[in-house]
Amino acid sequence: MSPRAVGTIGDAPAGAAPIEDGPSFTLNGAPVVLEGVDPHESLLDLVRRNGFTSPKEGCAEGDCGACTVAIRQTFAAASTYRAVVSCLTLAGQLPGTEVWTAEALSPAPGPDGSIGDLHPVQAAIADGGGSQCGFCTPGIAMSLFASYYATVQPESPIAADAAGETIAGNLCRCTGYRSLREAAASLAGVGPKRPGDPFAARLAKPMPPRPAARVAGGGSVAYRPTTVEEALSLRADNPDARVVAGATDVGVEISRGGKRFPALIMLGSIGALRGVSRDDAGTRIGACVTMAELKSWIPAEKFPVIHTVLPWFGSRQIRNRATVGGNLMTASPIGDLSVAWLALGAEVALQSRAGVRWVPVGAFFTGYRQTAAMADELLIAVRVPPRGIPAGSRRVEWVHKVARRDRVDISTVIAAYSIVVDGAGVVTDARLAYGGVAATPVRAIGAEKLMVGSRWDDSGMAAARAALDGAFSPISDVRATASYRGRLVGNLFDRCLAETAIG
Amino acid sequence: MDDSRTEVGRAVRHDGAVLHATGRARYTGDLPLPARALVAWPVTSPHARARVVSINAEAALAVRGVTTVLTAADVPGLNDTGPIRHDEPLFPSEVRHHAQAVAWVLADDVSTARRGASLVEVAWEPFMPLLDLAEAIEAGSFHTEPQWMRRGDVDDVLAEAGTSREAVVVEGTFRLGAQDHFPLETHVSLAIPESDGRIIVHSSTQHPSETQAVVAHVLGVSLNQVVVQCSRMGGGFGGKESQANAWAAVAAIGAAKTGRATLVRLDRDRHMTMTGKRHPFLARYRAAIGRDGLLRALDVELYSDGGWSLDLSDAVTGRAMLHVDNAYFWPAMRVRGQVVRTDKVSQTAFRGFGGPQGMAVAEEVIDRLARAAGLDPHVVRARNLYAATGDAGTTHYGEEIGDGRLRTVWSELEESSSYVRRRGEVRAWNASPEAVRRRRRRGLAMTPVKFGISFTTTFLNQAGALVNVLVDGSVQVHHGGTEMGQGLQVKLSQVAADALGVPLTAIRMMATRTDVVPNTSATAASSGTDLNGGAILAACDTLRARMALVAASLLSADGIDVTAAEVQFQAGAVLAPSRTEAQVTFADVARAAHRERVSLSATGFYRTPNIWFDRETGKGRPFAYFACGAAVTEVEIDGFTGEMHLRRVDILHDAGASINPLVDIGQVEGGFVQGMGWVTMEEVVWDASGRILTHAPSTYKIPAATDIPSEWHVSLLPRAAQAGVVAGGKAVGEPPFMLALSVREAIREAVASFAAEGSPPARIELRLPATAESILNAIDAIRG
Repeated sequence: MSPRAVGTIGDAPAGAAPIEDGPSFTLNGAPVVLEGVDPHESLLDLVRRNGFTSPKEGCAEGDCGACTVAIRQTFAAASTYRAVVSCLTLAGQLPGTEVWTAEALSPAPGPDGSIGDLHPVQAAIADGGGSQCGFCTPGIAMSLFASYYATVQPESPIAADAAGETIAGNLCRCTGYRSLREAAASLAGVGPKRPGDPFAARLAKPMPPRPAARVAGGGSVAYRPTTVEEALSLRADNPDARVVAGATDVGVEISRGGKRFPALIMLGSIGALRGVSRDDAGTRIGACVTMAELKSWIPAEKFPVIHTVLPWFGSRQIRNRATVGGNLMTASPIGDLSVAWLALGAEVALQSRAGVRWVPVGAFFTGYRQTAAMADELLIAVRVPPRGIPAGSRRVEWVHKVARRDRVDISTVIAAYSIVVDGAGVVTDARLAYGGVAATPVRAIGAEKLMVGSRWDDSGMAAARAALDGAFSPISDVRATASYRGRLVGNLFDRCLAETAIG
Repeated sequence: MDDSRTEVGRAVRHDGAVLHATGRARYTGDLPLPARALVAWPVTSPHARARVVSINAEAALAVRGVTTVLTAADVPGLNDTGPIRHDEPLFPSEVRHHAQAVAWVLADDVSTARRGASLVEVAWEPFMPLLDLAEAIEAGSFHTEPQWMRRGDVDDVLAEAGTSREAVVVEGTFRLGAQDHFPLETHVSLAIPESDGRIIVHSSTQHPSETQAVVAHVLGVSLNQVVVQCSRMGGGFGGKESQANAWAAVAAIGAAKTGRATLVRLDRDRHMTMTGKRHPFLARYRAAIGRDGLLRALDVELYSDGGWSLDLSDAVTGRAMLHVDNAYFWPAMRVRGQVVRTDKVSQTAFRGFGGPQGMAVAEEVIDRLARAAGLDPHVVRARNLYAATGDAGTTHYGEEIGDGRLRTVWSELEESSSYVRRRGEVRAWNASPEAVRRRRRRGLAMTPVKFGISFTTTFLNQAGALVNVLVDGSVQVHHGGTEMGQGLQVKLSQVAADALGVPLTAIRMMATRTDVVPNTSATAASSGTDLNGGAILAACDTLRARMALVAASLLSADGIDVTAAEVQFQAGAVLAPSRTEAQVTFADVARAAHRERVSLSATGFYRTPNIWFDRETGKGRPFAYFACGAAVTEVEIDGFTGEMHLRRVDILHDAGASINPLVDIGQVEGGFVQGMGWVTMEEVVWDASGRILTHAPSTYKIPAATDIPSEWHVSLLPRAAQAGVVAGGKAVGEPPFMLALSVREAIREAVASFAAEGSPPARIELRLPATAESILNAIDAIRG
């Protein structure tokens, strides 16, 4: 059976990239030259330096959303606007992109301070009392803007009953959000109906292919390879280079921490790393598939754990940039998706010049922020093996994340379970994965063994449940104490049982 | 006013709303920088307490693009920025909190300045810091002498209650955590040297006059040499009341030294590690209640953690003492308050200014008393609400409440929120198989707010304004208040429009500048509209009187003499009832006044009448009036994880005759959510060495759009005009914050329902903030 593509991304260049004079991107409709620009410079600083001060720096770590802008990206045969945090978007990623800020949505004010026709998203905010101090407002406008034009996935349109989700990645300290949620809800299902809406007109066409131009300046260079082989040789030639996928993690080190690298290798233009396919070995997800794309490209009914986790993963702006591969390579002990992959028995593909090897996710994480990937290897894909179960059996897939805040927060503890229960109610297979309880995402293998062969109910699971107490030695930190984390290990299992057990 | 209430009372959108939404509102950090402007980055201490032995900036100065490194030697005047006490060296020889700045690197751009700062070598002699509030109290580390407020003989009442079967006495200790202001705009100041060397400072400050004074002090010049301007802030919440000054001072010193414009903008991490928070408090209390549910006595000591310097902590502690009654009549009270000194950031003003801490203590004690006595806390709250007048309507510091609104709000909200019915539903649900199997419980609670309006430092209750009518009839309004998102400017433009009888479009509110309206108070204490509105009204009255004379002669003709007294100003028209056919426009009158050499510019001044407070006796009438409200909150908590969900919130708040319901409801909602963050999720964590670990939104969580109540009803009390206040509207900035105490009490109710049937817990300990972990701990303590 040949691989069947279930999703593709179009901004990867098809064939040879066109030659251009130099790197540039489009900002509010006008070109901005990237010649001589430090590839570490954030899009936020670039935009502000070019006179558009609507995106604000609220944190420089992608958590507040005040710097949100929209980037038009190809999707299928058309394109879509996606909200991104400009503080974590690097100049080296920008060649060939099209960026929009709040200033460009409505006409400029006249000398009497009046503004003509406000863009519907801006009118909804302004008229409904959706701004107080106004500092976060342009970012909120851009989050709503992207959703307003979301005629195609993966950028989700605004849902009236979940308007908060649209702006969950935009902190506001003034309004209490009710007015903003109502502004968002008022736009739900409206869509771009204004005749001649220039932003709607653009969506019919894909973005032009992005040039392979490198951005060099400030003593650093960002390479933008278009093939894995090219990336591998750049890696070999530049041992000090940092490999960058979505930049939502390394961008924090750069923008907030002021870190600089001699060279950056940007993977975003490698077509082979995009897309999802299925074959006999399972579902293969390219390393540079974003979280937003993942949501639309793998079916919810087959991957409920992934679909449940994704809204808890960062913010919408982060999910529009963060990649599956980048998330694995950061090897965070509280990586929400890593825990899900662990529960699903996924494996990762590591490619070097010598070839490709597949490593189970459980063996991939070797220590705190350490992986099995060698210096000459790139993570190119993750694969979930076929999910078939015997007839009459059912799969209990359950995940829950405990955090200080239930959106845009780092896990205190996350548990993801994949349990197969046969027709008689007996567990035949179990994988219990946890994050936030050890130096790496980890499975409770002792408890898993005790589960197999026992009934999926309170008494059948008593021995496994007992084994979970003290199964790990979590630490105390700013989010929680070791004691709380330790109790959650067993309590989450209890909660899963209470929600899914027989009887 | 009431005869011409045209613009006042309308739900007009914020004057900045369109600029905000279109990204064109310019903040201090968005100003175009003058040529060759410099950017500053601080050199900060890795120790919470240490002597600065030496500073070697050689390596930093060798970096291309670094212009200079500012140290104490560069301060031409006083090396101090303390707003009340001079205890805040700007360039200290001894650091008193972690991340305190000892030098500032000025460079062409921020990354160069930052690199330069990392190269400045500082030799330190570290000392053991004093960090814990309780340990500091034990060690006798205080900024202030204790303050006292007393009513009745607490010792007698407690002693009597302790031996009575008809009363219950409790005692305990309660600690409350800090809260970061988290304005989306961090501290920022831009100092620009004028051609003659004088400095103008653009600052994100709630108190331009004080920023001006501090800048003048550090430069060693008189106040008239310095101008401070604030166009708007990206959030303040009290954090920019006194603590914007230091950054303005650094910028000014940099500009004075280099002759180049200097920008100081703290990034989020510097902002959170270098500036003060809402004060942590430690309260020790003894209290008594009768079995009849009537409160008898409260004896309480309030210790505020002031951090390294005094800042505004004395007044914050004073306001906590003035609010530790919350809305309840305690026949006997003794309140002791004192500011503790620790080696932490200097805690400062934050929406509520000690009020939230005092009221949280009150609710903590109420809950303890009620449960200890086996009474329903809701019944205890209802039974002890202040009356309007008399002994039971008078606070422990002797101010009469004056009206019965507390009880009105309480009963109307109880009714409109269906409290009684829902209470039964919650109980039934908690006993349901689903709740038991899924280990979930719901809780419903109602708490009141009574918040005193006025600066408790009486002399601060004054304001000035300058109103200019231009010859075309358009108007520019200046005043001393600052706009931080609270809608001050739009409310005051409505006040000015009605006062002059012109449409809102004729009014332009101007940026706040110390050279236009001088000697102002901070925009704080929820007083912005009351004080500045009073001053604007005075100026408008003066102008109207002058213009009425001019208008009278314009309108007089055909043998009818119109008097100034009968001239009316309405929506841009000027007319006299005796001669309606002769209507002229406001612009006509302005032009005529100009021709007749009548001044169209007037200042106004306002001071709040009839307020005073005697610190020695702890008695007085510190407040012009009380703002009140109440909230009913329903939560659901998870017994496996301690997670909490806000199911429904109902609020009834008293904003007087609201000047702008859109703005006022926004204040209520925003204040509630900020308070909800304080009581549930926001936690500032210091490590054992005094470092703040929660210095960015990744680790410090404020509420997001998904955290607000699933169902939320907010109403303003109708028919509520307040006498003697601008347009009858009440201050609304701070009071709603404390409505969020209902969330904490609802959580406590839900925790209580985990107790076994028939054995209600005599006490429920719940941290503030009540994080999921804290809630789970409370549940586990009940379940045993």
